[in-house]
Amino acid sequence: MGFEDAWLIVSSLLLRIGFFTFGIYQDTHMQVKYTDIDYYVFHDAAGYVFNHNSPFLRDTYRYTPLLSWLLVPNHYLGWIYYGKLLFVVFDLITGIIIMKQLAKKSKANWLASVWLLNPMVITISTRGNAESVLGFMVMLTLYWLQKGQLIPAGLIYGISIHFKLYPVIYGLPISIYIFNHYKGHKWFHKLALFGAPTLISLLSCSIWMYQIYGQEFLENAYLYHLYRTDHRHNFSIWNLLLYFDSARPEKSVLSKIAFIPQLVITASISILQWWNPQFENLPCVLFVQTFAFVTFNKVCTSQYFIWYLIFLPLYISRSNIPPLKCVTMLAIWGATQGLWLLQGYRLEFLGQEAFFPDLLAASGAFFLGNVWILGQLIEDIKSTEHPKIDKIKKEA
Amino acid sequence: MSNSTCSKRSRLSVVVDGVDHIEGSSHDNGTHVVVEGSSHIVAIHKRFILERDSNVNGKNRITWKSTTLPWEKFQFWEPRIVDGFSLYSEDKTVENAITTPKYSFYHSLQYEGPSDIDGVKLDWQNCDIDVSYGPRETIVDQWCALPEGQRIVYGKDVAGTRKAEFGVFNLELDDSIDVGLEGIICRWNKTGIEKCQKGLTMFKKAHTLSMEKVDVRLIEPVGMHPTLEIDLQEIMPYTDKCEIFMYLILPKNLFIDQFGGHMTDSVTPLFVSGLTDLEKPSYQLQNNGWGSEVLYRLRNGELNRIELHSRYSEPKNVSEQETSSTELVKFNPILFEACDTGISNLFQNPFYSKGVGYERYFTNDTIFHHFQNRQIGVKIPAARWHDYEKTQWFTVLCLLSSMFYLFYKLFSKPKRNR
Repeated sequence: MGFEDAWLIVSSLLLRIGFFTFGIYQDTHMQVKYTDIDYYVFHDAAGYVFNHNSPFLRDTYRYTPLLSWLLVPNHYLGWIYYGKLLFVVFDLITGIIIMKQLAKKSKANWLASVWLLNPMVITISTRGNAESVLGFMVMLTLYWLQKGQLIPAGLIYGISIHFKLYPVIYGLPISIYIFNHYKGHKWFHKLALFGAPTLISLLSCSIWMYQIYGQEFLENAYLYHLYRTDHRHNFSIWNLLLYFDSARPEKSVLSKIAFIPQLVITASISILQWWNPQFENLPCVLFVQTFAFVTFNKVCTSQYFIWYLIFLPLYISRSNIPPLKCVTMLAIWGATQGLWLLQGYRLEFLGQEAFFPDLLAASGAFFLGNVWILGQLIEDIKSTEHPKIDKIKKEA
Repeated sequence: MSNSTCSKRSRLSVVVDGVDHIEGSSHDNGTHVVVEGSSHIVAIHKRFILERDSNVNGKNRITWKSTTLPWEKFQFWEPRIVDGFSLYSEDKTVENAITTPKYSFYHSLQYEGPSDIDGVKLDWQNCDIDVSYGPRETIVDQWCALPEGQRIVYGKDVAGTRKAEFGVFNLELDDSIDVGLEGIICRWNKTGIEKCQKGLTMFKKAHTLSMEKVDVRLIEPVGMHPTLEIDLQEIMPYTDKCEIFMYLILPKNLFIDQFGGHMTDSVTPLFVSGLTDLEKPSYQLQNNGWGSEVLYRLRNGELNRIELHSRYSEPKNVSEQETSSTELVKFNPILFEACDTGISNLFQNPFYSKGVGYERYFTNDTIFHHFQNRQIGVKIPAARWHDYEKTQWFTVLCLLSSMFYLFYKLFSKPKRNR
């Protein structure tokens, strides 16, 4: 580890400590709290576990009990912020794994700082959002895949699916990568070396949790996410339609098939890995795939953005998108999000009737803006044989 | 809940606004008393006690508080019952009721009780009502106004009772706890009015009206998370055995996050009963109960905040021309100072007995000093059904066009950058 690496890690740590400390101050002294509402859900659930009860006694706890177990020290130590510190550690380690994956790239530290020094990322973990735990697992899966350590990669990947379900979408591109990478060298055996541990860890965790918590574990951690139709306002293009349908005796056909566009697009994007089977392409495909998954999802909130942000440094390292287009993409993503947030604010905090056409139009703008960005990302991946950043390195 | 009865006792009490008006407020013909409505009549109270010849298991109570009768005017002899219709039962099977720590509780803003009980008319349009069904007797109390132009004819036969009593009083004493009514009391024998004589009734009331003004308001802008602000900064406790509480009966459109204590500076509820689901819209809770009951212990000398949350409302059937589709949800917070007194006879007086609703959460010797407060209204925005089809088309168009675009991007020939 060079001086620059150490400096980046120390800076990242200090920044996180700063945000973390400010969060405690804001929680104590200001009316609007810094800590994420979900963190209190995890904390309360951990309290039930600490008292030998089920974490599902906490309303809206819809996660694996393992997450609540992680936060039991909150109650053991009598310090509510322990869990946040843990999430910050996961977030930092994720950054270090990203650094390791970028080690051979020029400007590696600059790229890693897209994660490590990103205020959005730091805010999310220091507010107590558990996505950093998942980000760590997904990134570790990629790291071990890169190193050819398929068994540990499979094991951690299985746990990540147990944690949040959605990483299951990575199964197809990862399988395509393994198939292409080991083609002619017992690829099926290699695929099994990844797939079997995935299944073993996923099933072990699930059966273990089912044995302890029974049906309520299945209902809350898994099934709820499959049948949920969130009527409350969120970024998703489906939102207003689902609100209407939730008040009808029978759902519309459109609501019933809401998963199909998401499934089709998400699965189709895997073909980008087929066309370019290098490992370096895999994080880029996962980035685009996650971006599409979130865009087409029935529910979409800001915390979902972190699902694709973890891949961003690795994506940028191979991207050939011209700077002006980058700025345009960022501007569209930010502006349409801002437009939606304005309508959301009018509805939620001013109590104004902003459902139609305001909120729907803003959701549409955000959705279409994201789709256009997806189009640019797909085009970029297809056109990338050699990342521009490596070309600059060669030229240098 | 009705059961066979063997006899009734009844009493009609009238309070006038001065000793001079005692004589002139009623007249009798030897068998009946007639009370004519006038501006001098402050209030009337009608009590019937229906004695049963059979035991009934369990206790039930019905109360009705009309919004047109200001409790402040009747507070000297009426308890502060919850606005609207309430049914408190020890029976857990009451339809659409919620289960609270003390009783099964059904509540509605409309009167849903019986129109009479064993021939005793329940005049819910003009009176506040408390019907207490006990194991051996049912006590019916009604507190009413008697405006000009209305009259009451009262007699033993009118009441159809074994024992009848009539009193007309002046409110001689009404301090923080003691009430003194002085006037004339008449009793009936078998043939008619037996005798009328001067009488003085002294009793202790359990509910009083506090002279202090407390500002209870919604913080603007209201939004989907209405926050009630209760300013107790200038309020001093009545005694050191007093604490201030707020009791809320919330319709299903509003709810309290019982886990929400960490999130804001809001006061944490002592308990929340009823609909505590944190996610469901109001229209998906049709058969789960009418709402929730919440009790808060407030902090003396501070600005207290209570954060509520609005549930999504069902889209409205309004015409395209109508600009508003908000739903106005109203509730009446009951703000009071509860004080332990050590007085043993607070539980019952000639005009009411305690033990109804929120009183059950306090000891029998508690006196409730009520602060005047007003009805709170929260507007909840809702979508409009006539936008449903447009929403469907818009969603379909967005999805189809984006899928075509992405497939084009995926399967079209790549542009080479180099």
